[in-house]
Amino acid sequence: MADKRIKNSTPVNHAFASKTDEELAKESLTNEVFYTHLMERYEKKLMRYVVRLVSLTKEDAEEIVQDVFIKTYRNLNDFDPALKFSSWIYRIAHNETISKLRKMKARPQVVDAEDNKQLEKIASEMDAEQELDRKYTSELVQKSLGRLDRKYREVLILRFLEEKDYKEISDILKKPLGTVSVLLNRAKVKLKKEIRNEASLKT
Amino acid sequence: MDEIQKEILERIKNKEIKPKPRWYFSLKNNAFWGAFVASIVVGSVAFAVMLFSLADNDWTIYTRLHKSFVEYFIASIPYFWIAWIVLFMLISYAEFRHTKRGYRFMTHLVVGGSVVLSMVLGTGLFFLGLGGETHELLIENIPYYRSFVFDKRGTWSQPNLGLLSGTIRTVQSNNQFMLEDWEGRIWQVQAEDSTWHLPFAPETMETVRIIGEKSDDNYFRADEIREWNRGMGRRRIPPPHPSIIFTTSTKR
Repeated sequence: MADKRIKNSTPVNHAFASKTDEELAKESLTNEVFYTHLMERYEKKLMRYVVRLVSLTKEDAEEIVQDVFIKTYRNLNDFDPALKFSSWIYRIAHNETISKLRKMKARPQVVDAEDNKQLEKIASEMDAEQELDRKYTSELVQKSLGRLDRKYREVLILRFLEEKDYKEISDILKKPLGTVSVLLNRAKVKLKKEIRNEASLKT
Repeated sequence: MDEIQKEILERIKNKEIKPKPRWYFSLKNNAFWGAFVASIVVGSVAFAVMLFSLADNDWTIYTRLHKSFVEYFIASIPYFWIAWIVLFMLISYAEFRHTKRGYRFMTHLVVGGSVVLSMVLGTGLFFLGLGGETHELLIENIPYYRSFVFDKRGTWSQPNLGLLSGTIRTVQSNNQFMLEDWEGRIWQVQAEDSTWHLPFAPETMETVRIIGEKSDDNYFRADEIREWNRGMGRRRIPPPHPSIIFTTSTKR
């Protein structure tokens, strides 16, 4: 029945658009068509996140995202309404990516960020912007992020590239809020140090 | 709908993938909660037995054993039970972290909470007598358990150092009774001018520990007679003749 509704009329698509992720997740339990709308909302976001988290080929990233959507669908009944749906699906994506990474050989990490402004934003958070030549800023931040331990890198990616708040990061990484805060502070210090090292090599 | 989405929908349809039922996740979450509660209960029992071991110890006999108090104290610490408490505290922490929202709590809060819970519950169980009961049950039924805990029998089986223990077999008079030690050896015990710390009559054939002096082969002069297990942390079985209970520290 839902199939017909989608094919036949635009107003129904408006109805989908007005539904929250959480509502769509609930509806997906009885009709997988609702799930396509969730996929539409998250496919690009998750692709970007997975690639940022680990340096992967497009094919590998697509494979992970497909697995994430299948796993999310299988576990829809496990979705805790106390969370945001986005936090939950990001958590699954995070776990799938790390699990895939473990299976693959370690490879050098280059954090992918298509938008230089986001990388410059990180630099400004580190108070490193003024110290750096603006044209090198994005490149330096990108390289420095790639050099950080995974635990620091992932928390910085979630905060500054994915623009998640502390509560969302806590739900995605399954860590207490206090730990997220500590990790983030340490990550900033480490990144600042890396940026300085990288900048001194440049000069 | 792009290619990836189509492919996913195909996979869902072709492989007949369905969302796992809600009860599966409830069961999983409840299993973690159950394991958490079980580990707290086991930790509490361990704490109760540890309290019993400490309360049951005679902290004054170290001079007879020619040891310093520190030496005796270190030997008396119930390491075995402390290790169990730590083990089950870690298990309870791991189980709690696996519950649905367990990750939201800081480690020190979860560990601290489970320690406090185990201590409160364990203290309650100790006063209900479960610590002593469990200790005795393990002594009787679990081989080698005794070798992991403070060797109370060994400590109280040193007549040459003035420490004797065993079961009263025959009460010959107010001042004399026969005692069978843990190896089955029969001792004639003289109890003139001795202090009795027994909540039961000697005639009930209870197990006792005696501080005194070995006067001859199989002869022992008692200065103090105490029940084998102190009352605290042990369920007290009412004696058959309450009228002949010797009160604590009654001189006979």
